[in-house]
Amino acid sequence: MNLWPFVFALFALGIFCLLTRRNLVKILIGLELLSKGATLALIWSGILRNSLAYTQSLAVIVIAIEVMVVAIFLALVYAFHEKSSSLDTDDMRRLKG
Amino acid sequence: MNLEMIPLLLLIVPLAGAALVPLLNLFFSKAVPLFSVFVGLVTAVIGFFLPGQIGAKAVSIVWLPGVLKTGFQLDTLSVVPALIATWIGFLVLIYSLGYMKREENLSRYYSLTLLFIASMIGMSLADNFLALFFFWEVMGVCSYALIGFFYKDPKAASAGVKAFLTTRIGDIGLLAAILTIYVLTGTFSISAGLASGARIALPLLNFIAFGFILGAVGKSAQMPLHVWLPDAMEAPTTISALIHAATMVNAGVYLLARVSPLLALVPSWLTVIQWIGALTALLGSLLASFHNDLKRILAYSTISQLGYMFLAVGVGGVFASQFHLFSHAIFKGLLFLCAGAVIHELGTKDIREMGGLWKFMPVTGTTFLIGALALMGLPVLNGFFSKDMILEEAMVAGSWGPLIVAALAALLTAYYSLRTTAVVFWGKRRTVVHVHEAPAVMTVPLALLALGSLVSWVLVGPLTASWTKTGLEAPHITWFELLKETFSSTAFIITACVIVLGFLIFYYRKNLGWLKEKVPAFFKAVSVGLGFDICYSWLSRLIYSTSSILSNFWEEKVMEGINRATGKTSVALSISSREMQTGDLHWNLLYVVIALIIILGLILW
Repeated sequence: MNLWPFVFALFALGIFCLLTRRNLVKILIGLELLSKGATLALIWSGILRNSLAYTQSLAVIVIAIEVMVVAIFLALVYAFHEKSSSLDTDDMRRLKG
Repeated sequence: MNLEMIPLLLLIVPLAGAALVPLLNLFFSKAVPLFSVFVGLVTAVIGFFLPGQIGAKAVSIVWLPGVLKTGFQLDTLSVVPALIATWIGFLVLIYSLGYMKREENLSRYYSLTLLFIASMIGMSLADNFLALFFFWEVMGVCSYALIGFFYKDPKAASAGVKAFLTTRIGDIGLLAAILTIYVLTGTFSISAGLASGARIALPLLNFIAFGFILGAVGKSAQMPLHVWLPDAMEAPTTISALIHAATMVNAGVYLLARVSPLLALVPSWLTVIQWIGALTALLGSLLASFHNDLKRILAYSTISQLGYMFLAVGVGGVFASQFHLFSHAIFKGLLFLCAGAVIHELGTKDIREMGGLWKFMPVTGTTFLIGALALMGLPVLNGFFSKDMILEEAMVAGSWGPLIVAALAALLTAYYSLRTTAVVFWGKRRTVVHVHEAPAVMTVPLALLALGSLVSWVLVGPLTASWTKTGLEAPHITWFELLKETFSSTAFIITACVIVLGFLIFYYRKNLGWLKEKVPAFFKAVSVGLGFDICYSWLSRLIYSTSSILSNFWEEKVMEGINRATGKTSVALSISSREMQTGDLHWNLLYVVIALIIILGLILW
């Protein structure tokens, strides 16, 4: 069995989602797809290298951190929505340096 | 007391006095003048023990091991200027009690005067070029500060600056010469440096000689750097007497006499010294003959007499130059102090407003006449013997050109000495100011100096007796032999002739009025000092304007251009790079992805 195509598919989908969607929630989903691809790559590399216990624990930590990232991202999205009552990334012009 | 400490004490006592005067001024300012005179007295008394130390090995101090060890060089050549500074300094300090009574800021005056006396002693006794240069510069600073003593008068302030800057040109030459000697011989010691002079290559020796001559010309106000001395007459007259007649201006002659073994190796420079001396003597006496400011007449006369000393060094008569230095210090100090008494009473320096003062100031008048007669070189006054000795040395050396010029200068000297005395003290009174004789603190120094002018030449015996210890040659002669030799020499005929001629010019000066109508250009030129000042101000203005144009170009075109280019480049870079910061989330994400791909690529390949 080979899981690399799934990993790349998830990664590519995530990037495609990040670059094309304009809705912030969709961008969050794209980000999640990316990180799921990464987690899957971790697990699969652990299976290939026969050190599953180690990579599994790493994957659990990644998922736990992922929760916090999602929480903070959602908080930012909520705050942005409160302020501008929109979720469109085109309205986020103030990121300009 | 340990006699070896005498030179050190002689240096330290006035230095300590100079340091203590401002302190004393804080607590008890009334005592400052008397304290300074006391310090001068102690110095003068210590000075009496100095001639006994000639040839002795004095204490020396190691400042930097292997590089700088300085001590005292005690021979006749160095002791004479030191003693002149000590004793005339003491007389001037006494005189100042009366002369400076009404002035303010006396602690500054006395402190600087004592510092000056100390530095003159240090300069002449130093056995080390670096120490000599140090004291040389301290003298310059004292001179600058004392010329500008009445600093509220802009003329005095600018005269101080002028003196400082003009002598600075010479000082650069002196420093260059000293450093060249150090590089070539590895020592700052004067005796060692002079001893190894013969081993120095000729071009470098020429350069060294040029540096020393430049230094001496600046300090001793010789042509063409003489312009500072007449302006320095803005100083209090006591300072003119001490610094600008008796001591500091002699430093240049002393320096040339000190390095004369080196100069003897480059005869062409000796010729230059002869001509500088002779022409300066003529220039000084010419300008003195037509000036109307009493102090400036004396200043030009100082320049002229210093020219004689240069001539003496140039023809190899080092002893003659030092003998004339000794005589000149006495009679010129006397003349200046007399002039000070007159100016003090009348409140003007213009001799046209004086006249007929003999009746009111008999002591000042008599002593001034004695000084003037010594200046013109009337027989049996000290100026006669020393000037005659110089002319004779020039004749022996066979340098007829400078000799003729110097004789012409002597003629004019006789004329202006008599003219000044006559205009100031004889004839009718021209002002109605009430005058009376100066107080005793002023007349006693005058009387002592007048006595000195009459008899100081008797000291020729002890002076020549120890002369061989300087490493220079001069036969030992007693005063009686000097008398005999002088009156039987050929130079005496010249001296007598020029004195008689000078007297005749003086006597028939009214008949020479046609000169003024025939050659007005000459008188105009003389009245502006033959245009030296104009030339220098023109030159300095030229230098200033050229350098300001150059510096403007450098500042505004080159440096500003670099600044502007730097600014413009960074602004352009920032504008072009700002395009990358769109603020659009998708672009940012795209950059992230591109970076990711690049990193991946780097890892994989």
